[in-house]
Amino acid sequence: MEQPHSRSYTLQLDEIQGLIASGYGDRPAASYALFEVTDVARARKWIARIVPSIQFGGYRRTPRHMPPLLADVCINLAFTYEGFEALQLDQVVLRGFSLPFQEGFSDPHRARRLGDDGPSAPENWTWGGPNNPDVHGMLAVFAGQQDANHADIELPGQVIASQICEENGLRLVKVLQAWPTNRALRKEHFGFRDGISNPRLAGLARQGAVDVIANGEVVLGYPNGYGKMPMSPELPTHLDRRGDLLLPGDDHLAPRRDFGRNGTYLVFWQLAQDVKAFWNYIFRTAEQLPWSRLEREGGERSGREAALWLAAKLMGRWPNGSPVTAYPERSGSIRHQDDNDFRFGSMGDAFGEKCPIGSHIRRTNPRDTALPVPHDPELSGDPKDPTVQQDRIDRANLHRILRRGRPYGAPLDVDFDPETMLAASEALAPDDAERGMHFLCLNANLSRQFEFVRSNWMVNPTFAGLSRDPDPLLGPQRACPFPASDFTLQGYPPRQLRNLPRVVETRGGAYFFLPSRSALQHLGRDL
Amino acid sequence: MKQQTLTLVAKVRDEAKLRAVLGEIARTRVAVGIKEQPAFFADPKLGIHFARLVHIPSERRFDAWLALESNFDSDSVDPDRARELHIDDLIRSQPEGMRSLFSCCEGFPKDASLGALGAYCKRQLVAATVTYEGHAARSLARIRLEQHVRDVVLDFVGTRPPKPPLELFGEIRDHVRVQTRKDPRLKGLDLDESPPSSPDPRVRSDKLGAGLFPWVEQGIPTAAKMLPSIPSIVKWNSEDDGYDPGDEQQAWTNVDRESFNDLAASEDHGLQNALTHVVPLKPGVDREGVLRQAHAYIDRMSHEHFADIGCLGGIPTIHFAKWLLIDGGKRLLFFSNYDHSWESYLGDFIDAAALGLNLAWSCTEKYPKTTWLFTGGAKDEEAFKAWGRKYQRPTQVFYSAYPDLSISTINNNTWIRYGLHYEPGTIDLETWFRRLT
Repeated sequence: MEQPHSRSYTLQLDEIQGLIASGYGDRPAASYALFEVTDVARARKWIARIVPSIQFGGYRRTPRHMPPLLADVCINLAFTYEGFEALQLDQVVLRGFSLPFQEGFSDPHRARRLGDDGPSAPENWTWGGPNNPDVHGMLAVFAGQQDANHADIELPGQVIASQICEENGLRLVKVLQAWPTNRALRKEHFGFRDGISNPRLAGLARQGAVDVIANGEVVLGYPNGYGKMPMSPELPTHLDRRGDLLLPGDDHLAPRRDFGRNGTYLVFWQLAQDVKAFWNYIFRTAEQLPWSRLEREGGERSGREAALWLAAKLMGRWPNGSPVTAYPERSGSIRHQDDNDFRFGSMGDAFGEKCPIGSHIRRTNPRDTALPVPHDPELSGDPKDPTVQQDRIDRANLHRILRRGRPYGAPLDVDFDPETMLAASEALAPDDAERGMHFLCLNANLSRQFEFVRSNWMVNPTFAGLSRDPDPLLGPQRACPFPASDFTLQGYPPRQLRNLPRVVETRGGAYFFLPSRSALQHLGRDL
Repeated sequence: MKQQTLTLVAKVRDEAKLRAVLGEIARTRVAVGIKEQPAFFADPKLGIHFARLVHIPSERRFDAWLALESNFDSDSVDPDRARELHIDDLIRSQPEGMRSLFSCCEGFPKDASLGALGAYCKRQLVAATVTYEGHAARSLARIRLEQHVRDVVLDFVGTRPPKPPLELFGEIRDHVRVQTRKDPRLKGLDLDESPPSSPDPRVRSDKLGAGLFPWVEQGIPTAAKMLPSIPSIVKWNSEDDGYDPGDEQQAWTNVDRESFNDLAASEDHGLQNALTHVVPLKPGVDREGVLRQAHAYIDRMSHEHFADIGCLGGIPTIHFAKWLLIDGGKRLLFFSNYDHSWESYLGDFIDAAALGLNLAWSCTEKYPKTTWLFTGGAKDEEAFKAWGRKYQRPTQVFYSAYPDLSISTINNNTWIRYGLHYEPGTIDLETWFRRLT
């Protein structure tokens, strides 16, 4: 694999929006305003006015407590393809965006491939689907300090109300409010610590960091994992009348200017989580497994222990985040909750005997899992060979995404205890507000990264030599490629779970583009 | 029983009518395993693994074509005889359908008899420049049997308490023996006989461990034959320009966008997809000759080397593939039946098989710039994918006999079944148990 050349390590931090540089863990309150452009002239003026208030990545140049500091309220701004059309961005630029972005997240063929069918089908979405109002843009607002108080939670909504209004040529379509992050727990609604395995961009990684990907895997304008510049929407130089898109050192006479540089594609995917269905299945199955009492160490495990063990196997991490590969039988201590520095092969887990091949974390980031068939070393390479491991990691890294998600809706238990959550879910009123994940991710190539992870690694029941095993959270019982609902616990002897339920459904989504400072300035000009 | 392949390519006279006929055939479906498939190819007597019907529309200086491709089991080991018999079977199975299809084509006989239709179809047979079979020697019946063996074993083993492997393996064999007497879907399995002789796991191991030797060995005759073309290749190396995805995208018309939408609509309905790709050769003398030499090399590698491995040039997801020349050698047609999404398939091309693909396609229009016809090219990821999509055409009718089985699964099932034929203690049980997944 070609090494990205040195330029790839110098990210133009003042140009990239701050959400690329971090997930704003220090700003626990978040709201996302989805809006429509109703008056192009006013909307463009508004963009020009709001650029100085937008959080860019400069704060990552220095340690957290040294200036430039993160703003108290971090604002980021992204547009859909329809949004750029509504803003009358030049046709040449519009045609330069990637086809998935032009087609959109809710395209029916895309939905089929990604497993958005039945209750998850775009026609059933609450936003972003064919039966919903157009979404042209998203204003993401983050606020608060450490743990959010009431005022912090209200703040993003106030910012949104003041910005997304008729006066600015915008109409509010929907506000999606995140549940304030609990920094200590950082759990999603099933009760598992989230956001651990996130790759580092080469331009932001500390010396010796593990899990580093090329800048161009996320940010346009830098070499990607193939050592090539990702495709980027450009425009003829004469259309960039004010030289907005010109950066220091650029060639003033170049025939084209790069609108996409320092920008990225942003996926917004709203997922509803059925906590009751998930833990019900786990507790019931753990109890019914005929072998569970026979073979667990010591012979005896309570229902709760067996259920946690089973859930950890499905997830690939224990609820506190410790990896099942390192702690196959019992949860690791809190010291290991953010452990992301491991390979399967070198920890004796090439064949899924500790962390099952089909587990959620293994199929969303297979690391050195020898694809396509781990248990066929003749074909896929010796999993203990570090060269093979590195080659597999390099190939898996061509499909990575930067996740920036946050949960929404009130947790069923503040401590996320499974039994308490299950009991609480039994008592819920039928009209209880749902809970789930505002899954946001960033990538330079939607089809090779986000869509590949979903269709080839999650929904595909034949991932890594499996036969009928979809991702236990997001893949069961999808019509395409074929309905499947098994889960195999590799090992001696292997065990299979059957009839996995659907526990996560898509409620809405859109593909956005998160432009650079220069591109926003360009958008802010009068027509 | 042997896998055979045929391709009929007929020049189309009435494209509108053909599209209507294809639409009707695509809509008439029956359940095959767990998915509905076009009834046209579903008759069990046809023994079809994968089949397709494609309308290659007229464009620029090229005529419109109808292609019928079938990969099928045959009792005949002679490929020519097998194809003729298969055409007769197709006509017997779908007399009206075959007649409607080919009545849209030039030279269709006025005599409406089935015999005349058969003779006409046989005249439309086209020989491929390269063919590949990913699970040669396995008939449909065997693929289904071995999948069921896997299920029977996993169902049984999943409920047994842990025991020493040798003991458990013995129990599994006893169980399968008992089931063989009761379960009609295990018909034909006899654990006390030797397993089938093909595929041979030792041959596969040897080939997987052979490194570059087979490439060199098979390449020498090709290199010798290409010597006279060196001046041309030198000239192309400096003159050929590549594919600029940005410029191409700027030039997309509504017709292009409809084509992309049609492609997406035709894909991802089952585990496998059909790729139909048609691209003109670059102009100039020698292109066809050089391409034919390169293809002869790939064809030798395909049959002598990769067929035994279940993986074509590093791509382990292809069931069947073939290249053939149409329009009197002016255009190259490619058909493949592959697992998973287009994105993953093209990714495998780039990550694992760029060199072979460059050899196959570097003489065709706008192919991403290569150096000496085999380096570069497909290594330019976005250009290669965009080029691939540009010349891809929708497959109107696609049939798969096992829309839930990947090549990996089919191969793995075979190795599980082979293991059962051996006495306990004679195979590596650790490896065998790992395959139960």
